[in-house]
Amino acid sequence: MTDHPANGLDDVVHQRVRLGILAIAHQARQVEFGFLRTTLELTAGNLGQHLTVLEKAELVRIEKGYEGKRPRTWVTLTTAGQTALRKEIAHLKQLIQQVEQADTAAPTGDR
Amino acid sequence: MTHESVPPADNPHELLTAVREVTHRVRIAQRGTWFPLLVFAAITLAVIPVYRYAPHHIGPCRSGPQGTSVCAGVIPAVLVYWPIALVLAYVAVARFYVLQSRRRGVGSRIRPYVVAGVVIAAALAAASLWRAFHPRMPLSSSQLQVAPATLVAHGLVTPAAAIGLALLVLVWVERNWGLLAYSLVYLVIVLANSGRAIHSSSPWYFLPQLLIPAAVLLLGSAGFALFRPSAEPQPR
Repeated sequence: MTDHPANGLDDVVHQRVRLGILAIAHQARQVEFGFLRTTLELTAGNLGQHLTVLEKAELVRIEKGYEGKRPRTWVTLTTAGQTALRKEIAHLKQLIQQVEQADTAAPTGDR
Repeated sequence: MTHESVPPADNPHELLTAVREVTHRVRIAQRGTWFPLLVFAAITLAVIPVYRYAPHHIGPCRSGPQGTSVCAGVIPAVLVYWPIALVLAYVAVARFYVLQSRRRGVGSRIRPYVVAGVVIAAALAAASLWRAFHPRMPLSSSQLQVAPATLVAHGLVTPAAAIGLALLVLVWVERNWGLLAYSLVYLVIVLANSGRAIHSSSPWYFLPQLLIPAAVLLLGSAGFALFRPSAEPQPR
Protein backbone atom coordinates (compact mmCIF):
# COMPACT_ATOMS: atom_id res chain seq x y z
CA MET A 1 0.00 0.00 0.00
CA THR A 2 1.40 3.43 -0.99
CA ASP A 3 1.20 6.60 1.09
CA HIS A 4 -0.90 8.31 -1.57
CA PRO A 5 -3.35 10.67 0.15
CA ALA A 6 -6.29 8.84 -1.46
CA ASN A 7 -5.48 5.83 0.73
CA GLY A 8 -6.06 7.92 3.85
CA LEU A 9 -9.62 8.85 2.90
CA ASP A 10 -12.25 7.45 5.21
CA ASP A 11 -15.25 6.01 3.32
CA VAL A 12 -17.60 7.11 6.09
CA VAL A 13 -16.42 10.73 5.97
CA HIS A 14 -15.53 10.99 2.27
CA GLN A 15 -19.03 11.84 1.19
CA ARG A 16 -20.35 15.31 0.56
CA VAL A 17 -23.36 15.22 2.89
CA ARG A 18 -21.58 13.48 5.76
CA LEU A 19 -18.58 15.78 5.43
CA GLY A 20 -21.03 18.70 5.49
CA ILE A 21 -22.66 17.40 8.68
CA LEU A 22 -19.25 17.07 10.37
CA ALA A 23 -18.16 20.53 9.21
CA ILE A 24 -21.36 22.15 10.46
CA ALA A 25 -21.21 20.31 13.80
CA HIS A 26 -17.57 21.34 14.16
CA GLN A 27 -18.33 25.02 13.62
CA ALA A 28 -21.51 25.02 15.71
CA ARG A 29 -20.46 22.62 18.52
CA GLN A 30 -24.10 21.53 18.66
CA VAL A 31 -26.56 21.65 15.79
CA GLU A 32 -30.23 20.86 15.50
CA PHE A 33 -31.63 18.38 12.98
CA GLY A 34 -33.80 21.02 11.28
CA PHE A 35 -30.84 23.36 10.72
CA LEU A 36 -28.84 20.53 9.14
CA ARG A 37 -31.77 19.58 6.91
CA THR A 38 -32.27 23.16 5.68
CA THR A 39 -28.58 23.93 5.22
CA LEU A 40 -27.78 20.69 3.39
CA GLU A 41 -31.09 20.71 1.48
CA LEU A 42 -32.03 17.16 2.38
CA THR A 43 -35.20 15.35 3.28
CA ALA A 44 -35.58 14.22 6.89
CA GLY A 45 -35.25 10.57 5.88
CA ASN A 46 -32.09 11.12 3.89
CA LEU A 47 -30.45 13.18 6.61
CA GLY A 48 -31.48 10.57 9.17
CA GLN A 49 -29.71 7.85 7.17
CA HIS A 50 -26.48 9.83 7.01
CA LEU A 51 -26.65 10.63 10.72
CA THR A 52 -27.14 6.95 11.53
CA VAL A 53 -23.97 6.10 9.57
CA LEU A 54 -22.01 8.79 11.43
CA GLU A 55 -23.44 7.77 14.80
CA LYS A 56 -22.58 4.09 14.24
CA ALA A 57 -19.01 5.17 13.41
CA GLU A 58 -19.07 7.16 16.71
CA LEU A 59 -18.26 10.39 14.88
CA VAL A 60 -21.33 12.21 16.16
CA ARG A 61 -23.51 11.98 19.23
CA ILE A 62 -27.27 12.35 18.83
CA GLU A 63 -29.46 13.60 21.66
CA LYS A 64 -33.24 13.82 21.52
CA GLY A 65 -35.20 16.13 23.74
CA TYR A 66 -37.86 18.79 23.88
CA GLU A 67 -37.74 22.56 23.53
CA GLY A 68 -41.05 23.43 25.16
CA LYS A 69 -43.44 21.01 23.49
CA ARG A 70 -41.41 20.69 20.31
CA PRO A 71 -39.29 17.57 19.91
CA ARG A 72 -35.71 18.45 19.02
CA THR A 73 -32.76 16.37 17.91
CA TRP A 74 -29.31 17.79 18.60
CA VAL A 75 -26.15 16.55 16.90
CA THR A 76 -22.73 16.97 18.53
CA LEU A 77 -19.34 16.14 17.05
CA THR A 78 -17.34 13.61 19.08
CA THR A 79 -13.58 13.75 19.54
CA ALA A 80 -13.26 10.95 16.97
CA GLY A 81 -15.43 13.03 14.63
CA GLN A 82 -13.17 16.04 15.02
CA THR A 83 -10.14 13.94 14.26
CA ALA A 84 -11.83 12.33 11.25
CA LEU A 85 -12.86 15.73 9.89
CA ARG A 86 -9.38 17.17 10.33
CA LYS A 87 -7.78 14.16 8.63
CA GLU A 88 -10.25 14.19 5.73
CA ILE A 89 -9.64 17.86 5.03
CA ALA A 90 -5.87 17.36 5.24
CA HIS A 91 -6.08 14.44 2.77
CA LEU A 92 -8.28 16.45 0.40
CA LYS A 93 -5.80 19.32 0.44
CA GLN A 94 -2.92 16.92 -0.22
CA LEU A 95 -4.82 15.37 -3.12
CA ILE A 96 -5.47 18.78 -4.66
CA GLN A 97 -1.82 19.73 -4.19
CA GLN A 98 -0.64 16.52 -5.90
CA VAL A 99 -3.03 17.00 -8.82
CA GLU A 100 -1.90 20.61 -9.24
CA GLN A 101 1.77 19.61 -9.10
CA ALA A 102 1.13 16.89 -11.70
CA ASP A 103 -0.64 19.43 -13.93
CA THR A 104 2.31 21.80 -13.65
CA ALA A 105 4.83 19.07 -14.43
CA ALA A 106 2.86 17.69 -17.42
CA PRO A 107 4.33 18.61 -20.84
CA THR A 108 2.25 21.16 -22.71
CA GLY A 109 2.30 18.93 -25.83
CA ASP A 110 -0.24 16.63 -24.19
CA ARG A 111 -2.96 19.20 -24.66
CA MET B 1 -39.58 10.33 -2.39
CA THR B 2 -36.02 10.64 -1.26
CA HIS B 3 -34.38 13.76 -2.50
CA GLU B 4 -30.74 14.63 -2.38
CA SER B 5 -29.66 17.85 -4.04
CA VAL B 6 -25.97 17.04 -3.84
CA PRO B 7 -24.27 14.43 -6.00
CA PRO B 8 -22.97 11.34 -4.19
CA ALA B 9 -19.49 11.43 -5.76
CA ASP B 10 -17.37 14.56 -5.51
CA ASN B 11 -13.86 15.56 -6.34
CA PRO B 12 -11.64 17.07 -3.60
CA HIS B 13 -12.14 20.61 -4.91
CA GLU B 14 -15.93 20.28 -4.76
CA LEU B 15 -15.85 18.74 -1.31
CA LEU B 16 -13.65 21.47 0.13
CA THR B 17 -15.76 24.15 -1.53
CA ALA B 18 -18.90 22.56 -0.05
CA VAL B 19 -17.28 22.50 3.41
CA ARG B 20 -16.37 26.18 3.12
CA GLU B 21 -19.89 27.06 1.98
CA VAL B 22 -21.67 25.30 4.83
CA THR B 23 -19.17 26.66 7.37
CA HIS B 24 -19.85 30.17 6.07
CA ARG B 25 -23.62 29.62 6.38
CA VAL B 26 -23.21 28.40 9.96
CA ARG B 27 -21.11 31.45 10.86
CA ILE B 28 -23.75 33.77 9.46
CA ALA B 29 -26.49 31.91 11.38
CA GLN B 30 -24.44 32.23 14.57
CA ARG B 31 -24.10 36.00 14.31
CA GLY B 32 -26.04 38.36 16.50
CA THR B 33 -23.71 41.35 16.29
CA TRP B 34 -26.41 43.99 16.65
CA PHE B 35 -27.33 42.92 20.18
CA PRO B 36 -24.01 43.48 22.02
CA LEU B 37 -23.64 46.86 20.29
CA LEU B 38 -27.14 47.86 21.43
CA VAL B 39 -26.51 46.73 25.01
CA PHE B 40 -23.22 48.65 25.21
CA ALA B 41 -24.82 51.77 23.77
CA ALA B 42 -27.52 51.46 26.44
CA ILE B 43 -25.08 51.16 29.36
CA THR B 44 -23.00 54.04 27.95
CA LEU B 45 -26.07 56.29 27.87
CA ALA B 46 -27.33 55.04 31.24
CA VAL B 47 -24.18 56.27 33.00
CA ILE B 48 -24.83 59.93 32.08
CA PRO B 49 -26.91 60.71 35.21
CA VAL B 50 -24.23 59.05 37.34
CA TYR B 51 -21.53 61.32 35.89
CA ARG B 52 -23.74 64.38 36.25
CA TYR B 53 -25.26 63.93 39.69
CA ALA B 54 -23.00 61.57 41.66
CA PRO B 55 -20.57 63.35 44.04
CA HIS B 56 -17.12 64.16 42.64
CA HIS B 57 -13.99 63.95 44.72
CA ILE B 58 -10.68 65.59 43.97
CA GLY B 59 -8.02 63.03 44.61
CA PRO B 60 -4.29 63.44 45.16
CA CYS B 61 -2.48 66.23 43.22
CA ARG B 62 1.01 66.57 41.84
CA SER B 63 2.97 69.23 39.98
CA GLY B 64 2.00 69.52 36.33
CA PRO B 65 3.56 71.29 33.35
CA GLN B 66 4.01 75.07 33.28
CA GLY B 67 3.71 75.34 37.03
CA THR B 68 0.20 73.88 37.12
CA SER B 69 -1.12 71.30 39.50
CA VAL B 70 -2.53 68.02 38.15
CA CYS B 71 -5.20 66.40 40.28
CA ALA B 72 -7.15 63.17 39.95
CA GLY B 73 -10.89 63.63 39.67
CA VAL B 74 -12.77 60.68 41.07
CA ILE B 75 -16.46 59.84 40.87
CA PRO B 76 -16.72 56.80 43.16
CA ALA B 77 -20.13 55.86 41.77
CA VAL B 78 -18.68 55.66 38.24
CA LEU B 79 -15.87 53.41 39.45
CA VAL B 80 -18.55 51.09 40.80
CA TYR B 81 -20.95 51.50 37.86
CA TRP B 82 -18.74 50.37 34.99
CA PRO B 83 -17.54 46.97 36.23
CA ILE B 84 -21.07 46.04 37.30
CA ALA B 85 -22.68 47.37 34.12
CA LEU B 86 -20.13 45.65 31.87
CA VAL B 87 -20.47 42.29 33.63
CA LEU B 88 -24.28 42.51 33.50
CA ALA B 89 -24.04 43.45 29.82
CA TYR B 90 -21.94 40.36 29.08
CA VAL B 91 -24.41 38.20 30.99
CA ALA B 92 -27.21 39.64 28.83
CA VAL B 93 -25.15 39.06 25.67
CA ALA B 94 -24.43 35.45 26.65
CA ARG B 95 -28.13 34.88 27.38
CA PHE B 96 -29.10 36.40 24.03
CA TYR B 97 -26.71 34.13 22.10
CA VAL B 98 -27.93 31.03 23.98
CA LEU B 99 -31.57 31.84 23.16
CA GLN B 100 -30.67 32.64 19.56
CA SER B 101 -28.83 29.29 19.33
CA ARG B 102 -31.91 27.43 20.50
CA ARG B 103 -34.20 29.35 18.15
CA ARG B 104 -31.99 28.87 15.08
CA GLY B 105 -30.91 25.35 15.96
CA VAL B 106 -27.22 26.09 15.74
CA GLY B 107 -24.83 26.46 18.68
CA SER B 108 -22.54 29.43 19.07
CA ARG B 109 -19.02 29.99 20.37
CA ILE B 110 -19.75 33.12 22.32
CA ARG B 111 -17.95 32.05 25.49
CA PRO B 112 -14.50 33.44 24.50
CA TYR B 113 -16.06 36.84 23.83
CA VAL B 114 -17.91 36.91 27.15
CA VAL B 115 -14.83 35.73 29.07
CA ALA B 116 -12.58 38.27 27.32
CA GLY B 117 -15.12 41.01 27.95
CA VAL B 118 -15.35 40.24 31.68
CA VAL B 119 -11.53 40.01 31.99
CA ILE B 120 -11.11 43.36 30.20
CA ALA B 121 -13.81 44.88 32.44
CA ALA B 122 -11.94 43.65 35.53
CA ALA B 123 -8.66 45.03 34.18
CA LEU B 124 -10.39 48.34 33.45
CA ALA B 125 -11.75 48.49 37.00
CA ALA B 126 -8.28 47.87 38.43
CA ALA B 127 -6.65 50.41 36.10
CA SER B 128 -9.33 53.03 36.85
CA LEU B 129 -8.86 52.55 40.56
CA TRP B 130 -5.09 52.89 40.20
CA ARG B 131 -5.44 55.97 38.00
CA ALA B 132 -7.79 57.57 40.50
CA PHE B 133 -4.91 57.85 42.92
CA HIS B 134 -2.11 58.42 40.42
CA PRO B 135 -2.99 61.46 38.28
CA ARG B 136 -1.34 61.56 34.88
CA MET B 137 -3.70 63.79 32.91
CA PRO B 138 -4.82 67.30 33.75
CA LEU B 139 -8.53 67.68 34.49
CA SER B 140 -8.73 70.59 32.07
CA SER B 141 -6.42 70.12 29.13
CA SER B 142 -7.54 73.15 27.13
CA GLN B 143 -4.38 75.11 27.74
CA LEU B 144 -1.89 72.30 28.19
CA GLN B 145 -0.01 70.20 25.71
CA VAL B 146 -0.30 66.47 26.33
CA ALA B 147 1.88 63.93 24.53
CA PRO B 148 -0.06 61.80 21.96
CA ALA B 149 1.17 58.59 23.62
CA THR B 150 -0.27 59.78 26.93
CA LEU B 151 -3.58 60.50 25.23
CA VAL B 152 -3.70 57.05 23.64
CA ALA B 153 -2.79 55.37 26.95
CA HIS B 154 -5.43 57.47 28.66
CA GLY B 155 -7.97 56.58 25.98
CA LEU B 156 -7.30 52.85 26.28
CA VAL B 157 -8.15 52.88 29.98
CA THR B 158 -11.74 53.91 29.41
CA PRO B 159 -14.94 51.87 29.37
CA ALA B 160 -15.51 52.78 25.70
CA ALA B 161 -12.12 51.34 24.74
CA ALA B 162 -12.75 48.25 26.90
CA ILE B 163 -15.92 47.66 24.88
CA GLY B 164 -13.98 48.11 21.62
CA LEU B 165 -11.14 45.77 22.62
CA ALA B 166 -13.62 43.02 23.52
CA LEU B 167 -15.33 43.57 20.17
CA LEU B 168 -12.09 42.42 18.52
CA VAL B 169 -12.61 39.05 20.22
CA LEU B 170 -16.15 38.97 18.83
CA VAL B 171 -14.62 39.57 15.36
CA TRP B 172 -12.59 36.39 15.81
CA VAL B 173 -15.54 34.43 17.25
CA GLU B 174 -17.88 35.41 14.41
CA ARG B 175 -15.18 35.61 11.70
CA ASN B 176 -16.95 38.83 10.83
CA TRP B 177 -14.77 41.13 8.69
CA GLY B 178 -17.44 43.81 8.63
CA LEU B 179 -17.28 43.86 12.41
CA LEU B 180 -13.47 44.10 12.27
CA ALA B 181 -13.67 47.24 10.14
CA TYR B 182 -16.36 48.64 12.41
CA SER B 183 -14.40 47.84 15.61
CA LEU B 184 -11.24 49.52 14.30
CA VAL B 185 -13.17 52.64 13.29
CA TYR B 186 -14.90 52.63 16.68
CA LEU B 187 -11.58 52.35 18.54
CA VAL B 188 -10.02 55.15 16.48
CA ILE B 189 -13.00 57.39 17.25
CA VAL B 190 -12.86 56.51 20.96
CA LEU B 191 -9.11 57.17 21.18
CA ALA B 192 -9.35 60.40 19.20
CA ASN B 193 -12.26 61.51 21.35
CA SER B 194 -10.38 60.84 24.59
CA GLY B 195 -7.93 63.63 23.74
CA ARG B 196 -10.65 66.19 23.17
CA ALA B 197 -10.11 69.32 25.23
CA ILE B 198 -12.99 69.94 27.58
CA HIS B 199 -13.56 72.76 30.04
CA SER B 200 -14.17 71.04 33.35
CA SER B 201 -16.15 74.05 34.51
CA SER B 202 -19.25 72.79 32.68
CA PRO B 203 -21.40 70.30 34.64
CA TRP B 204 -21.82 68.36 31.38
CA TYR B 205 -18.10 68.28 30.54
CA PHE B 206 -18.18 64.49 30.15
CA LEU B 207 -20.94 64.31 27.51
CA PRO B 208 -18.74 63.97 24.37
CA GLN B 209 -16.87 61.10 26.05
CA LEU B 210 -20.15 59.20 26.36
CA LEU B 211 -22.42 60.44 23.58
CA ILE B 212 -19.96 59.90 20.74
CA PRO B 213 -19.20 56.20 21.55
CA ALA B 214 -22.89 55.58 22.30
CA ALA B 215 -23.92 57.08 18.95
CA VAL B 216 -21.32 54.98 17.09
CA LEU B 217 -22.52 51.85 18.91
CA LEU B 218 -26.17 52.60 18.13
CA LEU B 219 -25.37 53.21 14.46
CA GLY B 220 -23.38 49.98 14.36
CA SER B 221 -26.20 48.04 15.97
CA ALA B 222 -28.72 49.39 13.47
CA GLY B 223 -26.35 48.73 10.57
CA PHE B 224 -25.62 45.12 11.53
CA ALA B 225 -29.32 44.45 12.18
CA LEU B 226 -30.39 45.90 8.82
CA PHE B 227 -27.64 44.46 6.64
CA ARG B 228 -27.45 40.96 8.07
CA PRO B 229 -26.77 38.50 5.23
CA SER B 230 -29.16 35.60 4.86
CA ALA B 231 -27.99 32.20 6.11
CA GLU B 232 -30.52 30.42 3.91
CA PRO B 233 -29.12 28.24 1.12
CA GLN B 234 -28.98 30.05 -2.20
CA PRO B 235 -31.09 28.55 -5.03
CA ARG B 236 -28.98 26.65 -7.56
